[in-house]
Amino acid sequence: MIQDFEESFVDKLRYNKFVTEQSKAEESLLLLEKIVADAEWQTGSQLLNQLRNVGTAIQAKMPWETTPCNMVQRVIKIVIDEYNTCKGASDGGNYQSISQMMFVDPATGDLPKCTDVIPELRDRILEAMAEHKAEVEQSQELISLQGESKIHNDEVIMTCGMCPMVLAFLTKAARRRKFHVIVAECAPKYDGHKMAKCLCTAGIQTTLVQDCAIFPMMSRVNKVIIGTRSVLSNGGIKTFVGAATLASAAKFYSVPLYVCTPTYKFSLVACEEVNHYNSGNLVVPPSANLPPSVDVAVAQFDYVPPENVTSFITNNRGIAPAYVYRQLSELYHPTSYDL
Amino acid sequence: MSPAIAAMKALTESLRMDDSTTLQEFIEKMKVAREALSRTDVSVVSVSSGCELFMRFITLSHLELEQATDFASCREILLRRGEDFVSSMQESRKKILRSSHNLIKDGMVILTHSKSRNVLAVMAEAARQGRQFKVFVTESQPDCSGKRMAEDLRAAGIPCTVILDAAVGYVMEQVTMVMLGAEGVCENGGIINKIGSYSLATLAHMKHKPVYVLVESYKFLRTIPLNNASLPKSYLYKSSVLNSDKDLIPEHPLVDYTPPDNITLLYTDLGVLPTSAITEHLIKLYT
Repeated sequence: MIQDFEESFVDKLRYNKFVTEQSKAEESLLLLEKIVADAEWQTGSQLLNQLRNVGTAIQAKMPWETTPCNMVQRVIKIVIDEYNTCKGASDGGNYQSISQMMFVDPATGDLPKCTDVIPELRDRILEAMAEHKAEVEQSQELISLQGESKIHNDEVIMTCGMCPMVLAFLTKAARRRKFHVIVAECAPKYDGHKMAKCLCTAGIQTTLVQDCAIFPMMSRVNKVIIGTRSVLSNGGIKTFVGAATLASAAKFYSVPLYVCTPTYKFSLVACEEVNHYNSGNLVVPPSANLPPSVDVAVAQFDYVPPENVTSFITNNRGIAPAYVYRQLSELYHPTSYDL
Repeated sequence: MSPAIAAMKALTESLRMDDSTTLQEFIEKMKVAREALSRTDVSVVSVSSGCELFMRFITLSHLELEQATDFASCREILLRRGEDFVSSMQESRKKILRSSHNLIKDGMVILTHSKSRNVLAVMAEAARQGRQFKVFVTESQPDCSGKRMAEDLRAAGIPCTVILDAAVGYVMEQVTMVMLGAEGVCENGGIINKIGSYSLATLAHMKHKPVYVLVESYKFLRTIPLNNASLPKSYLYKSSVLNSDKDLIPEHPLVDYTPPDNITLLYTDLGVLPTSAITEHLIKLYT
């Protein structure tokens, strides 16, 4: 039962059946809930191992899918926390180990040993996971609530491509503020067109521009707001192609760059130089009959370094890139960083 | 063994042999011991930070200490914590190896400064795992410790070239990244390291090359120098020189201060930290 569910989830990931990152996060939480509720486990350690196996399997097959792995890490932290609370209540916690007292000691090699059998552990974990699921579902709403305080009247905002978070952010703000939005069309998918249509329907004055017009228009822009696929542990982001140019142009004109991202996109992955490539058919149709010596490279992601990002707008507050490490220490357990 | 660990072990020994009967006497004796250890000619910065953190850690207020009935049992607890601390700090180099295992990739050209055991350990480990990379080491006057680093690297089978300190600018365009050790890490994330590190890091930052610093957590200092001129004289010159009443103006400083903007990431035994994280770790220990 659980095996089938897991396999169908991995297949959906592989064939890009998910429309948004949010649906990926929600579905992976469903899978993890099934594992906690229905799988055979007695001690916390057995459950942690099963969760870890799910995480490593997804990471091995599709290393660019960070959201499901983030959810696995988050549930691991929930399990360890609930286990410690249950134990702490019965123990009375005296001498803490050196690592807890002094510093958080990451990567001591393995997850902590949770070998006691506690009957109410399963229910407590499921409760905590339900809370977390509600938080994930509300993240778009919570982010868009911050739009009013971030956007002022008569501002010119630039964005690129289509992102549901940014769309919600801007449409909510448009109810109380009057501003202009410049949307870059974002080749090769050209989803900037859809974004411009949605913004117009919401009554926002929109201008659609080509990607090459980003730099010349930047001097007239007050803010740049984009979404992202994932946030890396050094504070940089890995996102749609075109973001690096946008961010460099913004840095050149000292225009602040805001990234609307819910907390489930914060990943423990460090900056990698390896890019993943899409099929060349996206850019050059197969009927063009190019000679075989021509190589068509279509990158899937762009990396924006932390120096070019001003702030992350998340569920509850804004975070500067230099403090992403602190958000990570709140979300995930330090011994699971090595997964 | 690094000088700071040796100093911490010396402090544990003096703690074991201590026979004071009151807390006041004990604190005085420990202070005298710390000052004697800091009057060394070798790595004053890391020795003084190590001793400071050692004393701070063992005296952290804590349930068992508060419940101790007399000073002798108190001292037993302090001794035990001191030994735990030293053994944990001795493992720090292994932890740095673990947190930096993916740092060096095939085809990289790495520039390093002077001799650092952490950098040597990470490079030797990467070479052992079969990664192919090249290293430039600065000669690092006045004691030419860069040449000794190059010998150790060649012994590990890593192709390396010793360059003049003045040739850093010439070489920088070929370099992929810079790896440094540190004698001390300041609270704002800046580092105090062998003279020449400041120019190297500034140039690397200007040319958009990442600068990674490999350092253990007992080297965290509670100071924020404003600039190079505000570094204390005890760091800059050997204590034998300071005590000999020589005129300091023609003396060459041993260390310089690199501000945090020039540093990309710090690889420590606490994990991979950005420069903004140092102050949080220090606060956790001191409050």
